[in-house]
Formats: sequence, C-alpha cells, structure tokens
Amino acid sequence: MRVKRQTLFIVGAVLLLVGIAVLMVIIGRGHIVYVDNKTVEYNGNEYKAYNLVELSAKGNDPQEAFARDRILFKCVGQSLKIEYEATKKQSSSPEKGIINKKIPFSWDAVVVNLPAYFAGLPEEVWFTEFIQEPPADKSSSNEEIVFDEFTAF
Amino acid sequence: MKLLKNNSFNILTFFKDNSVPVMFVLICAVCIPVAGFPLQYLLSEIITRIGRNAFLILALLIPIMAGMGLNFGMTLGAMAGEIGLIFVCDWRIYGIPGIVLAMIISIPISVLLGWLCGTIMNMAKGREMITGYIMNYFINGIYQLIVLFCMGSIIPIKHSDILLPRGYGIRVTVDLINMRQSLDNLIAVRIGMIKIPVFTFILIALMCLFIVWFRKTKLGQDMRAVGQDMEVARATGITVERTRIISIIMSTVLAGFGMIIYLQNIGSLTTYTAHSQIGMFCIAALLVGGASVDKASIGNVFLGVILFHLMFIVAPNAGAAITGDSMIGEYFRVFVSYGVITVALAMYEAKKRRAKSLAGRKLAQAQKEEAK
Amino acid sequence: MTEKKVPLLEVRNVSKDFFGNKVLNDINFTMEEGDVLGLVGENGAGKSTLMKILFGMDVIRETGGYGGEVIINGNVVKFVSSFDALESGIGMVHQEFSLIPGFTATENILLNREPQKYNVISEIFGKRLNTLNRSSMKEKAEDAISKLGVKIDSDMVINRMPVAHKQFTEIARELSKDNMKLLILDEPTDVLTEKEAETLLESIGTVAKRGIAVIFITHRLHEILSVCNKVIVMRDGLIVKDVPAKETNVEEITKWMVGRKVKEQETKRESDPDKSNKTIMSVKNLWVDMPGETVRNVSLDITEGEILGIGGLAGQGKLGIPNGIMGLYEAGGKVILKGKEIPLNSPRQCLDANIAFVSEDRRGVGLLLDETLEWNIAFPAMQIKNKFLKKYGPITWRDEKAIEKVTEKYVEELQIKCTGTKQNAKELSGGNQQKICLAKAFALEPGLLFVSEPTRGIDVGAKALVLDALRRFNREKGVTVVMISSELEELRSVCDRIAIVSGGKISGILPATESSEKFGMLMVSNVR
Repeated sequence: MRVKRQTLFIVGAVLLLVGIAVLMVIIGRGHIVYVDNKTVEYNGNEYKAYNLVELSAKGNDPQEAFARDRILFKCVGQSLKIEYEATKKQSSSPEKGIINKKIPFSWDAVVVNLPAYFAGLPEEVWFTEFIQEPPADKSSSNEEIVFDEFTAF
Repeated sequence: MKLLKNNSFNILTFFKDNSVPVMFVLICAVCIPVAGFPLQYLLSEIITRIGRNAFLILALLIPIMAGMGLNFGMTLGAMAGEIGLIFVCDWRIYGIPGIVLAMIISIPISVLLGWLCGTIMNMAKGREMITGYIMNYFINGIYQLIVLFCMGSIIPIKHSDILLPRGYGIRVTVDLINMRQSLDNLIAVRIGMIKIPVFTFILIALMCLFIVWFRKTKLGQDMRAVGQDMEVARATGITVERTRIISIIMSTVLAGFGMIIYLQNIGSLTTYTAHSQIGMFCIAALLVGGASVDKASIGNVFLGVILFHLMFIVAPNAGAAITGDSMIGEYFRVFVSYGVITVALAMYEAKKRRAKSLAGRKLAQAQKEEAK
Repeated sequence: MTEKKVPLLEVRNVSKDFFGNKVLNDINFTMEEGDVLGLVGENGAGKSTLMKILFGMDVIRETGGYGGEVIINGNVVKFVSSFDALESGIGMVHQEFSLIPGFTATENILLNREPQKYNVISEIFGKRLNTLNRSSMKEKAEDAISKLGVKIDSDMVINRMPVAHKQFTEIARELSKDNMKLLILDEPTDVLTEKEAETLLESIGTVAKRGIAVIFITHRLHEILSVCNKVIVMRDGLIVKDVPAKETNVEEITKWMVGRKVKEQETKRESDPDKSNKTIMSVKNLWVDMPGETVRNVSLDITEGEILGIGGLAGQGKLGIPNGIMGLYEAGGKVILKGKEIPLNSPRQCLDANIAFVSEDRRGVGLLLDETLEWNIAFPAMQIKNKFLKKYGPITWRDEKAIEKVTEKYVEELQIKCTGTKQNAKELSGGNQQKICLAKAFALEPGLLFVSEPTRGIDVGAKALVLDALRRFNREKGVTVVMISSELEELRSVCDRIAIVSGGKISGILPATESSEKFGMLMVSNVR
C-alpha cells in the first residue's frame, strides 16, 4: 500500500514538472517583433510612413521610429502589446494608442507595419511572419571545434 | 608558561590544518596591491563570481559527505545542463522560463548520467576521484556524439543559426543572449558600481539550506555513516551501494542546475569546452577554501570561491606588474590551481599517516611510562 | 519434567565443515532466558564458527551451510543472513568494533534504526528523506545505556571515547533493539582494562536479570566464573565439557581447554648437541603498532641455531613481533643482530642483514600470484642476494637454468603438488602456496628465518611436511628459526623453547617439554 502511495506521489511530481515545463514553454516562448515605419502599397493606394512614432513595449526600452526605420522588440509570450505615440507630419499633433495582438506560437519573428496598421488595413498586410534567411554570410564554414582548456575562464 | 606553550601549539596546528587557505590569503595579500585594481572593481568581480560559481561548488558537498571524495563526476551534470540550454535556445524560450525549462530538461539526463557514474564508482571503491575524472573524458565523447553529430540530424533542431554551417552539429558558441543574466537581473540591487544579483544569491542560500536540511534527514545520516565506514554501515542494514549512487545522482543533478546558473551569467555557451574544466575549477576552489577529500563545509565553499577567484583576477595583472608580462600571471594561476589540488590530495594522505604514527608514538610513550 | 517450558535456544547436532575440513562436530546445548553462558576454548576450537552459525553470517552459507538444527523458542530457524538473526532477537557484538568513528554514541546506538519525523518530501523520494528525530533518538539511546547500568555521555563522539565506552556503546546498540533475546559477546573484555572489564561484567549481570540470555566468549577464565552460570569448553570442534560455573575452577577449565589426548608424538626430539649458546638476535623494548596485534615492550633473546616458538592467543600480539622487526608495521625499540643494531621500519635493511620472513599473509605479502613458481621462488633471492644471475660484460642476465634447478629441488623436497615449475602460483592450493612461501625463504639461505603461522589453513598431511621441512632446514643448514603459531601442540613438536605472548607482552619462555597446563596459564595470564 505504502509503495503504491509513493508511486502515486512520484507520478504526481513528474506530472507537475512536465506541467511546469509546458507552462514555461508557453509563457517563455520568445518572438522577435520588427516594427516598420515604412510606406506600403495596398490595392494601388500608397500609405505613407509617419514622421515619427514613439514606441514602448514591456521588457524593452522605449524606442523612436522615424520614417523608413525598422526597430526591434523582443516579446516573451504570445500577447504582443505595443504602446505608441505617432506623429504623421511634423506639424500634426500626436495620436496615442495601443497595438494588442496575439502572435501565433510557431512564429519566430513578425513584422508589424505601422502605416498599414494606422490606416486600418486588413491584418495580413500589417502583421506578417518574418522568415529569417539562414545566415549565409556566416559561411566561414570551417568553424573549428577547439578543445581548448581554460578558455571559459 | 604552560598555557603559553599550549597557545602557541594551537596556532601552529591551526596553520598546519589550514595551510592551503592561509597560503592563498598570503598570495592574495601580495598580489592585490601589486595588481593595483581598485577595491570597487575587485568587490564587484568577486560578487559576480560568487553568484556564478557557488551553486556548482555546493553540488560537490554531497558526495564528500558520502565518502566518495571530490566528485569530478559533476562535469556530467554540467553537460546535462548544457544540453538543456541548447534545446531551450532552439525552442526560443526566453528569460527565466527558459532557464527553468533548461533545468527541468537537464534533470532526467543528469539522473541517468549520475546513475551510470555512481554504478561505475561502486565498482572502483576507494578510487572514486580518478574514476570520475577519467569517466569525464569518456562521457565527453558521448556528449560530443550527441551534440556534434546527432543534433540537427537525428535530434531535430529547428533553427539553423545554432547549427554548424554543414547542417548538423551545434556551433562552437551558442549565444544565450535571450537568457543572459536573467536570473541575476531579476532582483538586482546596485550599490555604486557594484551589482548584487540578489535572486541568484537567494537560490544559493536555498541550496545551502537544502544541504543543512539534508544532513538532518535519514538519507543524510546514512550517507555520513557510509562515508565513514562502509562495512559498519552495511552491517546495520544500510544499502551502501544504493546510498552512494543516490549521492552521486544528487550531486549531478545539482551540478546541472549550477552549470545553468553559471552559463546564464556568462551569457554564451562554448558548446564543446564549457564543461571541460568546470570540475577542476570547482574542486580547486573548494580545496582552497580549506576542504579536504573527506570533509567539506558550506563555509569552505564561500571562502574557497573568494580566495581562489581573487587569485584568478589579480594574478595576470600582478604577473604583468612584476615581470612585465601578463602571460606569466596567466600561467601562474593555472599552475597554482593544479598545484593546489595536488598538494591538497597529498596532504590528506600525509595527515592520515601522521595520525597513524601518532598512535605509534603513544604506544612508545606508554611503554616509557611503564618502565619508570 | 517432560513438560518443561521450551528453552530459549537449543542447538541440536550442529556440525560444520569448510571444504571437508571438519571444524564443528555434533554440538548440543540449550539456554534459558537470563542464562549467561561462558564459552571457552583455544583458537581454532570452533567457538567463532559456532557463533557465526547462530548469527547467520554470510560466510556459513557461502561455504555450504551447516548440519543440525538451531531452535529458538521451539521453532527451527535457518537464517539466510545476519539480518534474519537480528529479526529473531539475536544480537552480536563482534571482536572488532563495529561503530562509526565520527558519530556520537546516540547516533551509533540507533544507527539505521533512527526514529524519524515525517515530512512531505518523503512521499516522493521515500522514507529516507524523513528527518531524524534527535530528541527521541537521545531518549532511546540513554534508555539503552541505562539498561547496562553504566554512565556514558550519549553525545560523545566515538573516536574520543575510551575503549570501554566504545564497547558499552556497542552492547547498548544491541540492547536498544526491542526484541533482543539473546546477546552474543565475542571477547568483549579483550580490549578492556581490569577495572573496565569489571564494570562490563556487572552490566552483563544486569542485562541477564532482564531476561536476556547472554553468550559470553572470553579468554579470561576468572571472568567466566564470576558472571556465568554455565560454562562450555570447546576443543577441536567438540564440546568437551558443559558444566555449571559453580562446580568448576580456572585450573580445571584450562586443562579441558588445552589438554589434548596425550599425544603419542609427544616431542621425540633429541636435544641438539652442537647448539651454541650465542645470542643471534636480541630484541629490546620493542613496540609495534600493528592493528589487532599490538606489541608492548617486548624484550627477547634468540639463541643461534635454535627453533624458537612464539605462541599465544589470537590478537595478543604474537604476529606483531616478526612484522615489527621486519619493518612491515610501525615499530620502535632496539633490535640487535650479531652485535649490530638493525634499524626498524626498513624491510630492506632486514633482508640485507640476512633475515627472511614468511608472512602469515600469503596472498598479500607472500606471493606473486600471477607469476610462475620459478619466479616466485627465485625472485627475492635474485633481488636481495644477486643469486641466479649471470654476467656477460656490463649486462646481467637471469640464469634461467639455475632458477629451474633450484625450483625443481624445492618442489621435490617439499612435495609441492604442481604441474611444473612454470605453473602460476595462484593455481596452487593453499597448502602448496604455503610451501612455495617457505621455498622462497629457503632459497634466500638466510641466517635467521621468521615463519609466521606456517600451517594456517592447510591439511594435516601438509602440516607435518611443512614442519618437518622447517626442522630439517634448521638442523642441516644451522639456520635459526623463529616460528609463530597459534597452535601450541605444533610449537611443542618443533621448537626448543616457546615464548608465550599475552597482552602484547611476553608472559614467559618455557622449554617445549613443559606441560600444556603451564603454557595454558601463561597464555591467559595477562590477556588484555
């Protein structure tokens, strides 16, 4: 009986660990968010880049995106939340707002196009997956595996 | 008069029993002013290194308790931790969740390797240290097989940026930028230039508490009994072999955690070399702290980290200041750390012999007294 | 009378042999609750084997079990391991301490039986992660100590304790077991001083009054008479006497112990005509720190050309003397060979001084087990005496022919059973290995030969041969031989004089023709 009880607890503990692991995968999944302030064309219309957008997201330093800028945020977890303060032209007053969006789990990186978002264009225009090119440049192909002692210190 | 003599005798035995730490205090005392580092810099370096290394060294205490000497087998745990980190890196899990996940992944690997190591050490009782040391090379081969050949070919690795350009095998360095110092920065307190990684220190404190608590458990008591006399322990029904294996498994698992803490501080993983000297350095630090093959305390760990790493920081500069060549200092610190291990091991034997000849002298003394 | 209550322990027709070598024969006795049984006998009489059977030790099972029955409370028991014996309430205190040196008395008394406090973690990892209940441990330990009627600090660490307290701690450990019915004490007073032993004897009395039966093995006969109510004397695997303690005395017991059926071979040795009275070696104030065989303040003169026997009970220090002189264990004092002092603790110097030693530890010190007979016999002679070597110019070669010849000679002389001189030593039987050891020493052609337990573990026929070879070696080559043996009869048949060691000291040297009783008295004179 006693043994059974212990087995139960062991199974419980293992399940708990697996549970924590799964939870960690979900809440810890990191995404790279590229925010573009670039002019886009959609259905023949051109949506101009804003003059300046001030952006801030949790866990990142606030950043400023001038026209034609691409800035990078890291987002941990699946919900993306970016606060912005956008100025369309130098003279106009800034508009404030929050971008709230779920990032699909499997996406490593996304591109958010600000002008498209501000113009209320459909999602597939302003929110797209970013496929990273394999770093071809790094084909300094013979990366040697050195069995060097003490390098870590 | 007699009291005086007694006192001086005590000081002498103090130096004799603690010669290694005393020697290091002297080395540091000479090198620090010569190296000319500002105190603030030294302090901040030492605090960083305590946070980085203490957990790993604490993992060594449990096998010592079980009489298995200084466990070079901890390197196996380090490998398990690294495998955990590689997966986490590939799965793009960031920050603390990534570290927790890496730890969880490392557990089964550590347990398996620890069990293997413990089983082999049971076959080589009394020669645990050398067995563990040589086993590292063997397991390192298996680690390389897995990481260098299987990962990316058999074991799926999604992201090519951590793979070698040829398409399989992990790169020589894996960037842990997304986890870098996330434990250290969780609750970081800054005093001037010095950053104190409070959360890491909390983890280390918890580990110390665990060890203190563990000593009070039945298993801890059994381990101490096994460590002191295997045959007596066996005669009372303690399962000696099993107890020894458990102690190695515990040490391996904890070393895996320690390695993850270590690497998150460094911020990058040198896939094929990070673990290779870790056992050596932890053991050297522990010995510098005044531990011996059969006795080590939490105090030894901290004293050891401070003294050993102080020497490590100041030696190159001191060497440069004295000889005009920093190579000399770098050479010196490596030379000294191996020297420490050798001396500490030799002294351990010498101490045993001294105790033995003491028994002989007592006998002669008794005989003399009888003759009177 | 027939409806008497079942005895606590009944041993019925128990016999035991080690590979055909009978060591116990038809042993019968019974014990009641609260009995104190004194068990005496010479070394090799079978006491220890009997106790091993009672305690279910592994050796017995591994060597083929035993014959007869052990009955506890009317049930026949067959112990698979000593843990079974513990379960049925038998506790044993062994000769050598079975204590953890760095633990306190409390920790040792309750070793592996510690009371525990529950905690949640143990649900996952098993009961071993419960914490120890220190206060309850202390209580239990002190309770067990008080049962003994002695005062021991339960918090004192074992290796700081005087020996007596260690002994008490061990007994207390057995007493702390709730179901303890029968306590076996194997020479518990051996390591104690007179005073300490007295306290122990009192404690045994106290324990017995609580209804626990005690089997008490000792060499100190007067102790038996003072505490036991029954005495069993064993000799050569037989119980020769089973009497109430009140009806006997020390002299009688000694006689039963030693008194063999008057041997027909009773020293038919002619005294040596040309024996000089020169002293070849003189030992002064020797002490030796050999574990279990401590030697204290021994002075001894060895006469040239004689065979000197050194006898005594096990653990009294007779083995320490040759091992100390030869430098195998830490020793002090003075050893003078032919007027020249030999430094102690230096085996090489002894060998250079033409002294040879046949160790009692055949496998450890005596033989190169993985080498051939030739190599075994010739190696020391080659190393030390530069024998069997040929010189061609600057290079020295082994003289294989000479080696083979000398090996053949000894194989024949000592009737070593082997397939050839190139056979490996480990393939030989124990007796033949012993002969190889002797041959090795003979090949050295020493001036003085120490032989330690030359007949241990070999059969009767081989024994006679070995002893004969020794005698011949002594007579023909004029080599002085010092022979150490626990078998008195063996010594008496070979030696000229016999020194008896007791309590690490020489208690007397007698001519071999002296009566067994006198030797017996010497053996137990200052046992400690």
